[in-house]
Amino acid sequence: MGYSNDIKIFSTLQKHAVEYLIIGGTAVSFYGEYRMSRLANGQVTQTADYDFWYNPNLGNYYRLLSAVEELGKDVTRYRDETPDPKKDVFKFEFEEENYTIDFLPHIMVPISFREALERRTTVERDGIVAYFIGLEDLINDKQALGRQKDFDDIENLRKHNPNGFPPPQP
Amino acid sequence: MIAQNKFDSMQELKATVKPMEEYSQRSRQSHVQQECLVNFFKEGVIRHAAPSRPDTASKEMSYGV
Repeated sequence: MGYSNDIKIFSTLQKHAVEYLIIGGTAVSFYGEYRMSRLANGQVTQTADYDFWYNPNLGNYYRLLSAVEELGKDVTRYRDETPDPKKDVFKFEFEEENYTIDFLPHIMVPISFREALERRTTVERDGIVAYFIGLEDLINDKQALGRQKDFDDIENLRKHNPNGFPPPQP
Repeated sequence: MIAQNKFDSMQELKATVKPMEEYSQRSRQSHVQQECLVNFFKEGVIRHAAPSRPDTASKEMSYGV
């Protein structure tokens, strides 16, 4: 099956100009060695999940809903109710596609989305653009979360990026 | 029953995540798909902190401490 279903998430977010940063295990796997999505207690999750930090402003909130709708979810109820983009956390399970997507309005470490956006890593391949949280922001967030799996992630990230990311030019 | 998609906190959301069932081929497949996707991006063109489009983030509306 490969990643063809999963890539649709990114192309759809791109199409709707959603401002986001990839965080969590997907970001850890990007900078380091792949690790499966895990619960706080370390158990592997039933399905892989993609965690996104979305820019929590109203315009982006509604663009996010449009993207999720295009991915096949009914979001009418969220359009109709009063949004609180600084607080609203979303989880969408895609059973057929076999993944889960979480959208979070903030991360644990106290930095603004705008600050993190300025330090992001942008990746482009085959016309698909993806935005990853910067390595140091990811590590700082993992330290703030402070669970065993986060410390394991930090070890993974430091091991694969001993001189940071990108490494300094000679 | 309509699935709940919106939560008040990350903790509430994460409490709903199910662990992988032992020997579940479908679960393993899900993680394999994700690994393939990560590898797809690892082989892409990487840019560091260089906006690929005008930065449309609104400072006034951004969450921050």
